[in-house]
Amino acid sequence: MERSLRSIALVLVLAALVAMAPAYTLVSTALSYPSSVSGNVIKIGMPISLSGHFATEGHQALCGAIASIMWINDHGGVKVGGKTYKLQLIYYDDASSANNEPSIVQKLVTQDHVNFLLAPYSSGLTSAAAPIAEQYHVIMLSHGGASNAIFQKGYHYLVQILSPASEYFTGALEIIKQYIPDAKIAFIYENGKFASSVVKYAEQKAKQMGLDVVYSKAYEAGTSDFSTFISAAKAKGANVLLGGGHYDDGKALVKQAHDLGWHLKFIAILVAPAQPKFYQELDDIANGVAYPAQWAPGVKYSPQIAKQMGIEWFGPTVQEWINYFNKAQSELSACKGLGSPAYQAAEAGAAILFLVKAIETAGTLDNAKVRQAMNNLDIMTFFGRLKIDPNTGLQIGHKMIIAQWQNGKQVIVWPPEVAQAKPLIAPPNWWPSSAKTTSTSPATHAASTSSPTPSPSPTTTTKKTSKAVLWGTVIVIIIIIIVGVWLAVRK
Amino acid sequence: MVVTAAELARGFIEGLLYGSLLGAISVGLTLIWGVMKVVNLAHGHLIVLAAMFTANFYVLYKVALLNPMGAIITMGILGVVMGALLYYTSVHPIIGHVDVITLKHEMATLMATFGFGLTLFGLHYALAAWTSWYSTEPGISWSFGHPPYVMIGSTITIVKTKILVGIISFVIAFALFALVRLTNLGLMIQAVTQDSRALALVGIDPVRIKLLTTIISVAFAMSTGPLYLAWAGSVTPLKESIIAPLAFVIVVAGGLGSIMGSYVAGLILGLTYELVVATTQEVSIALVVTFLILLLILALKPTGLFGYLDDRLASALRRRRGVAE
Repeated sequence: MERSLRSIALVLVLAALVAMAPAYTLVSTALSYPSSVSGNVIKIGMPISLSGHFATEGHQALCGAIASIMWINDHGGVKVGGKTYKLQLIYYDDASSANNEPSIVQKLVTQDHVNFLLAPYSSGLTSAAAPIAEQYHVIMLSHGGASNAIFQKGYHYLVQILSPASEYFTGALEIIKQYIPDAKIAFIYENGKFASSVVKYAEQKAKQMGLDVVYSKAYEAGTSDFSTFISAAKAKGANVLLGGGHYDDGKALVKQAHDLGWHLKFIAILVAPAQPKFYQELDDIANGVAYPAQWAPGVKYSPQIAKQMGIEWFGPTVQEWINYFNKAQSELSACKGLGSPAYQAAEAGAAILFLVKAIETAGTLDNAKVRQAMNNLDIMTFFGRLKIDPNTGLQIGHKMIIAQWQNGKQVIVWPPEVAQAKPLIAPPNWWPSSAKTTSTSPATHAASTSSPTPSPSPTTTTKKTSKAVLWGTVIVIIIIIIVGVWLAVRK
Repeated sequence: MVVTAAELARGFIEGLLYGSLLGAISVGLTLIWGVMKVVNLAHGHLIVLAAMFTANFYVLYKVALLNPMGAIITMGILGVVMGALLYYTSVHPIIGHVDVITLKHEMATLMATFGFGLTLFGLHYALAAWTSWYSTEPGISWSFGHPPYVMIGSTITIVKTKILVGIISFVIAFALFALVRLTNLGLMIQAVTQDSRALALVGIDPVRIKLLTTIISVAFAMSTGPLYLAWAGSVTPLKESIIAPLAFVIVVAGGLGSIMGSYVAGLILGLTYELVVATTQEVSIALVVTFLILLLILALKPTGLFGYLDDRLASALRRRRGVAE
């Protein structure tokens, strides 16, 4: 008996080892760009998701970083103390798993001897990697971790490049403050980590700005029926909707708000509207829906704007950087077929630029001194302004942009200095003329009439299909009744 | 939070409509499980299959026969094929030539249909991997009428799609009820489960009736898939884990074998759920309360609302009450 137990245990252990083998091989393959460098080199390490459920975002981030590295190396490299260095990126696939982060970061620092680190993608993976970087006193630039919580843990060497979660709805609130004096805001949002922290900060900010929040409700992840929340918010007289969470719920929330005839002057939803399929699936309903984003290829950050604001410009222009991103796509198999750069790519690209600027300012590769130099940096890049809070490492310079679907196109509407168009307030498909009651102020009216792109009438296509549907349904019911009667009579 | 009368009224109406849908989803299962004693674990998967196909094909070709309402017919026809497939793969080998179906056979059909259901579940992911057009999260957006809502009074708005779904669900449930209660075929279906040898004696092929029962059950189940899609607005293969338990609980609470019972139990569940959501605005509380009420029904009336005393259950109850058999 005991012997058989022992052999079973042995088999189990062996099976576990075999099952874990892919994990070991996965971690042990280092990849690098450029593959070899002659002369002085600064090595930057990066654990990044090339497989698993962050694979799309991971590839974007990797190639965004590579595009910036290409630009730096093509434009004379990094000058430190009279010597010129080239950049080299060493990266491992973390398979989108937080369990892999500690070993990969350790390997990058102790075996590959990297000088600096880029964080992995997403808040979850970044918070798994950050403590190891902190142990070795190596700077880690967070380009995909928006969570504020990671930066409240006292990590000195973790530095944020993208705007934190607390900033996501700031732009939307500024638009509401400026254009909708009679705004009554409803928050309907997913109770997950990201959306609820975004809304928590947004509610505080709305209170500070003196805006009227009439309804706020979190829903369970996976909720598909929002009619109760929508009815309750409508009953409270809400005319602005902010919220969302992931793609499916965000889309359903917008669709049902429209189907239930909720007249809204402004709608900003997290995540979902950023996807092109949001418009393909919702058609005219999507027009007027806005969303916060870290970056979009159409932003107008430029050396001229930097000069006006009195900030130093660093790195490629937006178009130059996009060209390098395309070059990375044609040269590297890992970057093939990514299409236009997403904001994840821009975040990682900006991280490289911020690091290079800090190294050149510090005049040394010493991590403590480079980190010190970052505290005083205030630069403008293709990604926008970059400036960190010296105490926490939180990003405070970068501004989120607000984009909005107008006539089937994603248009940047905020902040005004980089906007492509004015925000569309009270879009005609969401605020039909019959709903424009006396409470509509002149300011709102002006904004809606002066908007450059009035939406077309939404009725034509919907009407056609719904007529066909009506007839289809009538035929179905008639057939069912005929069959039923026939079966009953046949007896 | 103060609940207004309007919100309660809205909850009541939506509850009736949702309950009607839940009833229609469950009646197919009542037929195959309650009447024919096949525990069809593929039921939920078949409904999701219909919803997934509807969504995917509607995204591809926006024609009326494929929109969630027209697809009730298309999927009903597909249900005939799937029903035959289910019968010959999972049901016939076990009870095809069995005269009296016992608990042992019931357990065996449970395992077989479980396998059939998992195959359907895997099919979605396989199709998504093989083809470029099939999506496991099809992005469908469909609403009925313009404007897509109805105003009752000045504050209650109900989406027209939901009203349509509620009415068609009633028609579907009633059609099956009429089929089983009012036709010869219905009589044969009831007879085959009691004693198929006796049925064969009067010249009716029991295998044919079993096949027909399975086909009818699956066709009715699959025709409710598009209704579910129209109600929920989206579907993924994982939604099976929401539909199937609801359907099983409703069938048990309504009384095994009673089609009217299933529909009424569906209405009770839908009403409770929507009314609790309307008062508390918490979906999680609503689910708990709903299932508590179903537990209460079963505790007070173990046969379910409209259930007749099945022989096995009757003897078990007699034993519990200490009555000698």
